[in-house]
Amino acid sequence: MKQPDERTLVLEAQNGSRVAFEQLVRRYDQSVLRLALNLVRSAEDAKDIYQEAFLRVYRNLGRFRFECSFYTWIYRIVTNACLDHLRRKSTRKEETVARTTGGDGDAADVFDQLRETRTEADPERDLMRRQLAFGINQALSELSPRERMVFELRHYHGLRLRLIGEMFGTSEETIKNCLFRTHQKLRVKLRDWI
Amino acid sequence: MDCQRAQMLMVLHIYGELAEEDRPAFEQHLGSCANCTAALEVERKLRGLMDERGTREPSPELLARCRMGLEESLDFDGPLSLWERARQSIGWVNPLGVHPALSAALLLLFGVLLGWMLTTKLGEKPGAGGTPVFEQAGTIPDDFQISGIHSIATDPVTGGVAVSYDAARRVTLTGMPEDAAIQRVLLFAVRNYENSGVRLESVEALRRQADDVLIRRALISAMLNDKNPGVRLRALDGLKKYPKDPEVRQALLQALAKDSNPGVRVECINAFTEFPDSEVIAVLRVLAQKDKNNYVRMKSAAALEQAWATDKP
Repeated sequence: MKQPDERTLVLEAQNGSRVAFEQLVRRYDQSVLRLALNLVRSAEDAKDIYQEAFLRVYRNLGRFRFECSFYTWIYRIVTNACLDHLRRKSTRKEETVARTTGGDGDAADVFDQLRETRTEADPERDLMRRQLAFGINQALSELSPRERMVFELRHYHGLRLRLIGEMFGTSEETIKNCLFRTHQKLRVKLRDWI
Repeated sequence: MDCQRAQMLMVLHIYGELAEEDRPAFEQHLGSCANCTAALEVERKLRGLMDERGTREPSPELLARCRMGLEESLDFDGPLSLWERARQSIGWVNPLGVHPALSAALLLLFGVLLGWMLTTKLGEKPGAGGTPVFEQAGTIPDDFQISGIHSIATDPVTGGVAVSYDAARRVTLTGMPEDAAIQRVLLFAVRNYENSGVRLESVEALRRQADDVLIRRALISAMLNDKNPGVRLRALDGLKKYPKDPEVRQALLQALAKDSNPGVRVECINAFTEFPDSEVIAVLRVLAQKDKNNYVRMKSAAALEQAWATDKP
């Protein structure tokens, strides 16, 4: 059966269809969750961002006027939810950056680390890899929330700077300056590795 | 082109974002400046280094949990009312912006009305006749009586709380969740209030204070007894940081075994992931075989497997 196009789904969701809204969520939620998980490196926090972002989308759907793509609009909301989360974290000074391995969650990290120490053939190399990952996460966590977001979206998610500017509601030039500043900071913080 | 400009452009260059009109001057500068050529090499190395971190893909299990949580929140949120949808759909029309003269006239009228209301109400005692009053938490006497809760709102940035309740008059109390007066209203709301939205907001404010044993007990009571799964989940969220507290542990175990909502059962499994003991394992065994929800069965089986794997030498 042919999938309804996005505009139809948005209009149906705006008229109160939960089914249409859930279909829209499923189009984007995996990449939203990936962004959140890579930003905060904790499954529970990523889940909170996911929840908050899509609830905001749901509550504000009636305000979407097709003036930009739905993708840009939804990511603008997600970006704001992520920024709010990062700001709250930096306010509470609870940022922990010790997560260095794969897996989703806080507990999963512990188990993944256990598995790796059992299977890793070259402990010295493994140690270096962990130190580097720690250093990178530390350097990223010291960026401002905005710099952190811009870098994550450009470097790890491959979004064009112009699109990032649209998501932030600012000019491409501002985002270019932000990326440049971020590189300067990272270059200083990671100079021992370069 | 100077070196400062070139160094900014080289960041764009390594991301493939250098504008075509900047390219000739940029390349010409690089050809004649050894410092900038070396700096470009450093930028490339930095980019390669940052790639080392890689990206993490969310597992299907996490995605499923997120979707389930969202569905429950949407159930709790309920559909947007017709009024809200209508308000949003006309929200972009700003009649005041379209007719500046009309807007000026309306503002003037509003000012006159406001002035009249203020002058006629000036003689009244604040708070009398149902007029809301605003108080700071520290200014409230210890023996104040609550007859009903109007609303509770938590500021996500500062953590501050504003609770509106009716006593002899309606009072809006602002302060931090650790203020005794605020806590008293919140605890009252969690235990007694009919409106699940108010209970949810109360639990949300209280869960940040769960280091206090009395508040933990209130959260335990909400997690085990509240009829709304959203409230139970929020209370659980506040409690799962204390899996070693015997009271919390017992309550989580009870919720794991008996809660009617699969989302709550899944969150209980997650809460026990790091500290599964024989009691937890026994409940997980039953759930893995008999739970009526597929996802809970799968999740219990995975938790059991994980527990066994960590037991191995």
